[in-house]
Amino acid sequence: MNLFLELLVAGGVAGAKVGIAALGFALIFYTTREMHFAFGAVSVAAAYPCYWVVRALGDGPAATMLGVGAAFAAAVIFSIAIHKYVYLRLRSVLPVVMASLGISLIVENVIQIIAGPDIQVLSYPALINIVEMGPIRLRVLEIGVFIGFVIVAVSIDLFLNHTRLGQGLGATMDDPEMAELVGVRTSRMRMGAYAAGAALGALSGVVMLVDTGLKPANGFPLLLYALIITIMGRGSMRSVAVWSILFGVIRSLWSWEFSPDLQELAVFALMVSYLIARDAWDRYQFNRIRPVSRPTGSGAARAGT
Amino acid sequence: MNRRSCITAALAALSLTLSAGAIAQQGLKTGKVGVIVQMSGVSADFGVGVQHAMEIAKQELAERKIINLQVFYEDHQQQAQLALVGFEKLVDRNDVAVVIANASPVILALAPVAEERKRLVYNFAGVSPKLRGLNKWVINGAALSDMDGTALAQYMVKNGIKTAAVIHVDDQFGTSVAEFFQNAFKKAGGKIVDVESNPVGALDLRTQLLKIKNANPEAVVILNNIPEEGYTVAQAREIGITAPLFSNTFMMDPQNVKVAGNAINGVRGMSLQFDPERSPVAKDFSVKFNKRAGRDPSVTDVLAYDGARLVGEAMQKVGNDPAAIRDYIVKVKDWPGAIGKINFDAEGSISLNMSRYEFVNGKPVFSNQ
Repeated sequence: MNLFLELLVAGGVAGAKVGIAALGFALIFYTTREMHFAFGAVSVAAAYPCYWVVRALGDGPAATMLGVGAAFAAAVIFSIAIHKYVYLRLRSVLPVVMASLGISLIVENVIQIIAGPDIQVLSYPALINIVEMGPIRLRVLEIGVFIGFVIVAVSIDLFLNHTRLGQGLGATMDDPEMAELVGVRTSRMRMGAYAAGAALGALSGVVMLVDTGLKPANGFPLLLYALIITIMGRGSMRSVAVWSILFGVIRSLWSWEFSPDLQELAVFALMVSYLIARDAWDRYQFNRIRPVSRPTGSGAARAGT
Repeated sequence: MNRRSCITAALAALSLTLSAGAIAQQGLKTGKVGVIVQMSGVSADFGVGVQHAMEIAKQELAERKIINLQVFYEDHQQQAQLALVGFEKLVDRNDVAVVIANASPVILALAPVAEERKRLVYNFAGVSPKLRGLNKWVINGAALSDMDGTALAQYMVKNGIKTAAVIHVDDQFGTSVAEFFQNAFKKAGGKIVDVESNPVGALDLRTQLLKIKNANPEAVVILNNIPEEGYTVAQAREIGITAPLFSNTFMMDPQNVKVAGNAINGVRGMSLQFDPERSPVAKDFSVKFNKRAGRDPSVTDVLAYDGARLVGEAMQKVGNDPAAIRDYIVKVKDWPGAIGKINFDAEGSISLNMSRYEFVNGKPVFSNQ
C-alpha cells in the first residue's frame, strides 16, 4: 500500500511539473491556433538569463527574483516577436509548423554555442530539503511546484470565467471571428496569450534549472509532454490542468503492477483510446435523431397566420 | 599610423603567421580521421567534450611533428542510423582511413559496414560486452563492462552484500551491461531482487527507484548514461533509499557530480582511474582540457584523446592503410596514454587496470584492487 501511495504522489508531482508548461502551451495554442513548436526551446532558452543573473549576482532572494524576472522578460519578448514577425506573416498552418520547428532548432543550437552543452544547475539547499509525511518523502521544491501549479491552474480558471478580459480571451479561443464582431480585440488577446504562455514556459524552465539542471536540448521533452496534454485538453484549460495530473499519475501507477519499460506506451495508448472514444461520442451526440419538439400556444398561432 | 596602414600591417602579419604555420607543417605526413560522436541533442555535452579532446590531440601531434591529422566530425545524436550516414559520408567524401566513434549501439551498427568498406573503427567509449571480438575492423579503446562488471560483482559480494537491485538505461549498452553484471553477481553468490530500466534521456527515475526501494535490496547498482547516473543517485537518496549505491566508470563524469550534488558522497564502484598527477602526459592534457572546455576532463574525454594520439602515431608509422594501422595499434606494448599504460588483447580490446572508488566530498577517492 505504501508503494501505491508513493507512486501516486510521485506521479502527481511529475504531472504538476509538466502541467505548468502544458498550461502555457495550451493557452497559446487554444487562442491562436498556432502550433508553436518552438515553445520548449524558448522556455529552456529563457531560463539561461536567470542562471547568468544568479551566477553573476549571487543566489540571494533579490538576485533570484531578478533572475526569474529576466527569464520571464526574455521568454515574453522573444515569443511575441516570433508570433508577430514570423507566424503572422506566414498565415497558414503548415508554414507556421515548419517555421516553428526551424526556430526551435536554431534556438537550441544558439544556446549551445553561447552557453555550451553542459548541464547548468542552480542549487538552493533550502529547496532540496526533504519533508517526510508518513511514507511520502518530497523535497520542498516539489511541494512548491505542486502548490504553484494549483495556484496557476485556479488563477487561469478564475481569470477566464470571472473577468472581462478573461471572457474576451475565452471568446477568442472559442470563436475568434464572432469575438471580433462583438468588439473583442483578438489580436491583442493573441499577444496576451503568447505573453502569459511564454511566462509559464519560462517558469517551467526555471524549475528545471533548480530541479534537474538545464541543457539546451531539454526543450524537446518539455514540448512533447505539453503538446500531448494540450491535445487531450480539447480546448478546455480546466481539462489541461486535470490531464496534466492524470498524465503523471497514470504513468507512475502503471509501474505499480507492470514494468516501467512500457509506461510511455501504456499512457499513450490510453490517451489515444480516450480521444477516439470521445470523438465517437461527440459524433453520436451530433448525429442522433432527436424528437421534434411540438410547437405550442401562441407560436403555433403566429405560424398559422 | 592611419587605418589603411593598420589593416595592411595586420594582413601582412596574418599571412606571415599562416606561411610560417604552413612551412612548419611541410614534410609532415597527413592522416585523415573521422570522428562520429553526439554533438547535438540530449547528449551533446558528451560529444562536445570529446571534440575538445580531439582538437588537443591534433594540435599536439602537429606540434611534435608526428603527423598533420585532418579530423572530420559527424554528429550521431545517440542514433545508430545517423552514425551510419555519417560513416558513409566520411568514407566517400573525406576518404578517411579511421573512424573514431563512441556509444555501444553505434559501434554495433558500424561494425559490419566497417568490414565491408575496409575501414578501421576505433571505439573509445562504447562499453557493452557485446562489442568484444566483433570483427578485426573494430578496436575497443574503452574498457568493456565485462571487466568492471565482474570486478564490481566480486567486490560487492566480498563486502558481504548478498542482495542487490539494478537500474539501467534501456538501450543496447544498458541491457547488456546489466545482464552481464547480474550473471557475474549471481555467480559470485549474490541474489538480484529487482531490475528496473529507464529510457535514454530520462530526467525522472523516481517510479523505478520506488519499486527498487520496495524490493528492499542491500545495495543498488546503477548502470546508466550520463547524467542519468547522477539523477539516479540524487533521486534514490531523495525517496529514502539508504542502501549503498554502486556504479561503473561513467559515474566519474563531472556532469553526474554536478546534478547529484552532495548525494553522490558514499557512492562506490569500479572504474578506470584518471589521475592527472600520475604522469606529465595526463597533467598536460588535464590543464589544456580545462582551459578549452572550462571543466575537468572525464574518463571518456581522456580515452578519446589517447585514441586520437595513438591513431595519429600509427598513421605516421605505417601510412593510411586501415589494416596496417589496426595491426600497429593492437601490437603496442605499455603505450604511454594519459589514462595509463595501454595494451590490447588478441581481439583488439584494450587492457587497463580497474580501481575501486568511493566519492568523498564530491570527488572520487581511488584505491587499487
